[in-house]
Amino acid sequence: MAEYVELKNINKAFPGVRALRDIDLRVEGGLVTALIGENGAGKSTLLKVLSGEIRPDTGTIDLSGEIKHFSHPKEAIDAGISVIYQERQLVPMMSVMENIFIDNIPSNKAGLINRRELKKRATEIIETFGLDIDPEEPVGRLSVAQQQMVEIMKAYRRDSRVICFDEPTAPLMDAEIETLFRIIRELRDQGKVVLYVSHRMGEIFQITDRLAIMKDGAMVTTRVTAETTEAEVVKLMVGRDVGDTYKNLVRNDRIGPVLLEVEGLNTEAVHDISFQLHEGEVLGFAGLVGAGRTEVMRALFGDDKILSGTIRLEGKEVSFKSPREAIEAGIMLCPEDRKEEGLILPRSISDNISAPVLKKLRKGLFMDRRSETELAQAGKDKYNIKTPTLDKRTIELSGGNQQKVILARWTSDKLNTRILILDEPTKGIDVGTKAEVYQMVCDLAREGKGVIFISSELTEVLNVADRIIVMHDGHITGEVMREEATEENVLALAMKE
Amino acid sequence: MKTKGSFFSTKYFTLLIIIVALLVIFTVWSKGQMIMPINIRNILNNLVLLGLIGIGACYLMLYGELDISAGAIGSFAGCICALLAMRMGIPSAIAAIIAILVGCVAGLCNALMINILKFPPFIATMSMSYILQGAGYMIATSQGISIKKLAFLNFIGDTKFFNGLVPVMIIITVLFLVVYGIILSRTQFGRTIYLCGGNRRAARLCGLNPKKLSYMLYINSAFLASVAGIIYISRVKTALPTALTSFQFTGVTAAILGGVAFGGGSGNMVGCTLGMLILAIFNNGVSTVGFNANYTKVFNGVLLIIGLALDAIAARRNAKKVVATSLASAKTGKKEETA
Amino acid sequence: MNKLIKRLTGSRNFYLFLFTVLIIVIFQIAQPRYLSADNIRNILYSVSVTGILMVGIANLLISGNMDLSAGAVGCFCTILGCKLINLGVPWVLAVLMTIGMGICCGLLNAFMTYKLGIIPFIGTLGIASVWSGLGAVITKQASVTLTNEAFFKFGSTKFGIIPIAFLYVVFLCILYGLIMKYTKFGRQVYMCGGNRVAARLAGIKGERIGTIMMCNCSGLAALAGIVMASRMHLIHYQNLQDTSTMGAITAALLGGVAFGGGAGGMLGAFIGLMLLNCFKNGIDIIGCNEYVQILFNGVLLAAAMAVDFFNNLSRQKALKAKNAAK
Repeated sequence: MAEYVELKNINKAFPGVRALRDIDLRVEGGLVTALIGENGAGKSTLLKVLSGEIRPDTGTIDLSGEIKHFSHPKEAIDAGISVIYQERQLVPMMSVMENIFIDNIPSNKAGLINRRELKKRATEIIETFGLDIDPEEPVGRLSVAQQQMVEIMKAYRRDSRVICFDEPTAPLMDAEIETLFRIIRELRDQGKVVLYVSHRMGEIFQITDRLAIMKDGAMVTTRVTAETTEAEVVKLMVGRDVGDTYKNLVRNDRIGPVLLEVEGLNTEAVHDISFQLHEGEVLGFAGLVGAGRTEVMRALFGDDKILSGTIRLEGKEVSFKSPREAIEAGIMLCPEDRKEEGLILPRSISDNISAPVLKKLRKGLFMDRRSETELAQAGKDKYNIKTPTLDKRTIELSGGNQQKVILARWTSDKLNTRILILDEPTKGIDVGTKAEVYQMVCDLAREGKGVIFISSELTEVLNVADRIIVMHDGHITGEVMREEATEENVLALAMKE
Repeated sequence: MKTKGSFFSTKYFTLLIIIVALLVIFTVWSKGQMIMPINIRNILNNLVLLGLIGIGACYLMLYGELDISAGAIGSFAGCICALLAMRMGIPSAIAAIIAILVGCVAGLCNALMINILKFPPFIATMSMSYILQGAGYMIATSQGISIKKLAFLNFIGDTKFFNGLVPVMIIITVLFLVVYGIILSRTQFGRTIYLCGGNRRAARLCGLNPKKLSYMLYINSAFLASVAGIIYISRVKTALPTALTSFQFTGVTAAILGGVAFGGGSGNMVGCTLGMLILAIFNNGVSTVGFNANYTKVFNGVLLIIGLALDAIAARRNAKKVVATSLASAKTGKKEETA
Repeated sequence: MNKLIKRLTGSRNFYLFLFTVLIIVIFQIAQPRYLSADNIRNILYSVSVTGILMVGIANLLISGNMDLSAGAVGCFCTILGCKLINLGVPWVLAVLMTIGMGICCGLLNAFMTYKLGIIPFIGTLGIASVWSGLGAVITKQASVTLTNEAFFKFGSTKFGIIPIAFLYVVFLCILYGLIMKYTKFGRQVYMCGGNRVAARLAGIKGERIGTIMMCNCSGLAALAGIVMASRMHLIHYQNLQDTSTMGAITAALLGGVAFGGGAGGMLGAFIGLMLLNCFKNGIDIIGCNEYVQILFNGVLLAAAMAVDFFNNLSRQKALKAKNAAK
């Protein structure tokens, strides 16, 4: 009997966001099925449900006729589901072979490990993959790409019925990708269920047979890969109302003189970065996850150490030793990870908004409650933050409102905001609020501020930014004006094919 | 921050009830001994040391860290003060100031180990605690140094105002509690502690300096402990190398009982003070009704665990509530979309 | 042969061993009495009690957990065990019951950590206060003296200058070393300590392993206490306690057990233990008083952490250089 996995009516909510809504999906064995969608569409959450890592609020998993409810990853593994995680889950101090056999080290009845057998079997697998890795080397000493292959071997070895790949190719080079695809085809021919999550369209059309498209936590539709086109898939991923969202944007049409000039910037993570930002301009930064965009901004903001290079703000050379100095000079950063780096979650909305301007809210020795409330209220009104009171802790807000609190913090009139850096500002927030955020970005530009807009969603950067800088592997690979920018040319630069 | 709802639904009210209940129970149990003036003074005396060390613990816990060397630092400062004043003949006021400075240096060392060498705060302060206890023994031996006829220390330890009812050290402690309470709730510095304790990384990206704050807080904790150490020797008249070590845990316990969250970011001085009162009354009551110090040790351990468990349970319930509200808002949000 | 030398010079334990030898030589020069038969026996005695405690704590640390109550648990259980012996319970049975009580204390720690969600650091500190207070209450602050001659043999038999208790430590180190290195369970303990999430995703139940290791640690602590009582012919409520716990932790850290878990082994821990005790004894024998030892407890603990810190730093640098080269 052919294998299959069927998800029925899966729902899952997290603080501030409803990650999965009524997911129904049937994936057949003997085919490679791609699971695609924009960042935050819920793909990773869905994989976590499959792997037993998180428990859905409702719904069942039907594995070739058996109904399953996983409460621990062990149960999913025992049932025959393996997931290869994007963030590699290896134990750095332990050897390659132990990591490959992490959940099933060959041993006798007394629990004694058969080291020879372990090494033999690990070597066999490494040979199947055609790699040059010493099975006794600690994983922590391998390169990132090798580690990724170890992660893949770990799942391969289990001989599972269902294998899910979450962005497996992100850290890999061409030769390794070839190996991976060979393995995937082999698995497919054995009749296994293969689920493949990726952002790279080229790969998806090369390796998969079916497409399952997700958007905002819901399953949009499924397609046969051979019968569809990239354009159609993108349209399905993004939704039909995209065009309108962007058409209605009121942009800034008067771009001023150069505001910020970066020349030959080098840090440990990024190399030879040069670009300019004008007054009233929205400058997009595109690239794949890990291309180094966030690191550039951290260096600009005085958070990461700069090894060499110059930064000129309105013609004057500046160098920031800490974020405080950057803020004083008028550069603001809304970080990518809202919960870890952006908000102070256990504190109130008003505390979060006033955090960078405490000094200006003092009356003598003490904090002035009234002007603090006024400041927070102004932010709430300006950005339409939906909350009954300003004392509400930000952990209780939805993703969109959390983002608005951060925007309110960095654009308050107590700060002399010249440049606003937005790192993935629309990540994990719903469609309606996204449109609001785009308009806010344009409004900021219309006020004459320089805005740097980083996003991994191509359509978003293409439609919001006036000019787009593309990065790949720590370097800037190109610059495109909005009028000339297409998904193809930006993606080509981002992947540097 | 304005808290909506009446005073009776707040946790302060619960804490007050507990305090009153403890007082009543122990008064009845001890047949009235509990509220004799002399015993009240005992409670207050205990509160002095607990209060000073507790303030430091509360500040650090709001920042999300712990200093378990506070008791050892206080004891050591006491030994240094006694050494300087009794054996070297330095005027006691100056000796006290030097001792407090030495204590602050120990706090600085804690901060250096934690921030530069990246030790877990627990281990850093634990090793500091051993080093200072050992050093204290080397100075004072286990017999301690006895204090006689020192003007300044006698003033701190023995003077009482208002017909001999209110000792100077109580006034000092209340002053400290009030000043530190105001700093925490009203000033920029206090706010910085909450913000850095709530999320260090985000606070740094808001232009605050958590690292600098960490130095200040460890030094502050050491400062308060040293003051407590000086007060201790001026009252008991003997400098002992482990005089205050039991207070480093009671300080933490008081803060947790008073509602300071273990991970940092929430809680305040009012709750903390009430927590201290509970502990001081409880410990005194236990000994008044005839249990010896060993029982106190047991009960304090149990109280600490109860406080921690309540804290952990509250955190979990909070997380559940957040998910529930977001689920509800997501549902209504969906309705709006379809409508 | 070349390979052997390379392996030796590449291992941390080798340098640790050299350092220990160096310390011994220095003290021997400073005080010729240091390596006399009597003093060697002293050192081995001091190793034995902390040693048994250390085996439990080191393995618990490797699994990524912490227990600061070990010493207090050992003392409390031993007090009860000795009372049982004095009541006429056969000593073998009493020893087993003591260990059993230790395991129950470990279960309590696990309950606090996993069910109540209390951070083990501070939670076990509270528990330590409970046990040591109870110990004092039960004994009314007096020693529990023993008279059972047969029981004394259990802990105070000597083979030349080697006390039997030291052999227990060696045996336990070898046993646990083998378990941790060559059994499936042992490797799972390392995985939990090395990367909790990865272990969980690979289907390993971290809570179960944590619970087992906590029980193991407390059980061994009880064993340490009872061995000590058998050798001293009495137990006092102030025996073991925090100083011993910290000594055991220090030994493990000096021996290369990672504070966060996942790395280190019994051989290193054993050398760390020898180093610590040779050092402490040396300080004692050159005429410093016991108070200096307390001070050095702190200094050594800080030193052990510092070694860990610089190790990590150099490892990270090497890795960075390697990635950059690629």
